[in-house]
Amino acid sequence: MTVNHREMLSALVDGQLQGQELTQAIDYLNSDPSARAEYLRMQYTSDVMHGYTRSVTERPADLAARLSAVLADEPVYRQNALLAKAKVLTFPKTFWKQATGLAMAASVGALAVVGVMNQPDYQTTPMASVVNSGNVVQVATEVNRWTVGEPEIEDRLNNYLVDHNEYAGGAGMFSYGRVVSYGTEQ
Amino acid sequence: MSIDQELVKRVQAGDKKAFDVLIIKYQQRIIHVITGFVHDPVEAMDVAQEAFIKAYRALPGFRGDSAFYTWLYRIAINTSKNYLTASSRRPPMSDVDAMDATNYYDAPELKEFETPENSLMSMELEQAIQLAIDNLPEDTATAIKLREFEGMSYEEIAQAMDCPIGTVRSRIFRAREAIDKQVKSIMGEED
Repeated sequence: MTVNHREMLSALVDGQLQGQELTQAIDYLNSDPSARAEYLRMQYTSDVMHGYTRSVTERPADLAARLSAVLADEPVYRQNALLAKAKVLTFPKTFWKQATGLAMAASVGALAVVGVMNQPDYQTTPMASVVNSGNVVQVATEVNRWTVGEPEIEDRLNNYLVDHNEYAGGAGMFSYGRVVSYGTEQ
Repeated sequence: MSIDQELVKRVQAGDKKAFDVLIIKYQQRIIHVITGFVHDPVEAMDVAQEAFIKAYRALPGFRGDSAFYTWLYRIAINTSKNYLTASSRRPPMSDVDAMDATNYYDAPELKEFETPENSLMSMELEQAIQLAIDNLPEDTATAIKLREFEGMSYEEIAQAMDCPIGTVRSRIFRAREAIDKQVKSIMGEED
């Protein structure tokens, strides 16, 4: 053990090592038993001078050595496995533009699906039909679209249908909400 | 960044050997605190071991909002209390604040639990250390006293003694070398 090494250990006791020197000191402690023994004595002596003497023994304890077997079974931590603080994520403006565009496209797509599902040939999807206000909705087994002569009126009715279903009620209210769809005329 | 922060960062990045340094650095202090609760030295050592294991396991969640020793100290206190509760012994009623921890050394209700052997050993060590310091050259003695008894950093000592930091480091090391010779003779570890 050189004088430089031992001086490094003394600086380690005082918390004065950083970076590469700290790495060297840590490696040195783990590779040279006499270095470890000297570091233990230096730290112990410092602790005695600071008054931590309630459990002074003939030789300093080496809890690290006693714990080495236990700690060997413990996981090795990786920086990205640490519990992260909540972060405020900021996205560039282009992201929001794209997200908005996608949302609009999804809405249009949903409307298109509703329209498709209302076609006479598309009979596999059951639709709820209007019964009476306040009553439990009954699920229709057949879907038949009413016949409207004028396309403009038909479009308006379709829009009312979509709007009404959107505003009929939130989750948990469905048992007494109203859902409007196309149904066979009685 | 303090050395504790640096060491914690290294452990969190996968360097278990850095945790060894933290154990060696704080083991005597933690054993000292735990002995205030768990008076038997063998049991105190077991509780200290458990406290360090808990600290290692909790390290991923340590954010550095408090000093590492403060955080470790709280773990040691809780581990001691749990140990006493588990062995059906009553822990002290009042909690101990981390900042007051070192002052409890002088608390009479805790001091009475020093054994005669412990008192004798600590007295022998303190005398050996004092003798070694008294025999040091003046600058070397001043440097080690400012470091150990005044808690000054190397930078502060360099300013106070009007010398480079490297000189401070060297003087403190030579002081420790001289002290170590005396301490080794008490411990029966001659050169």
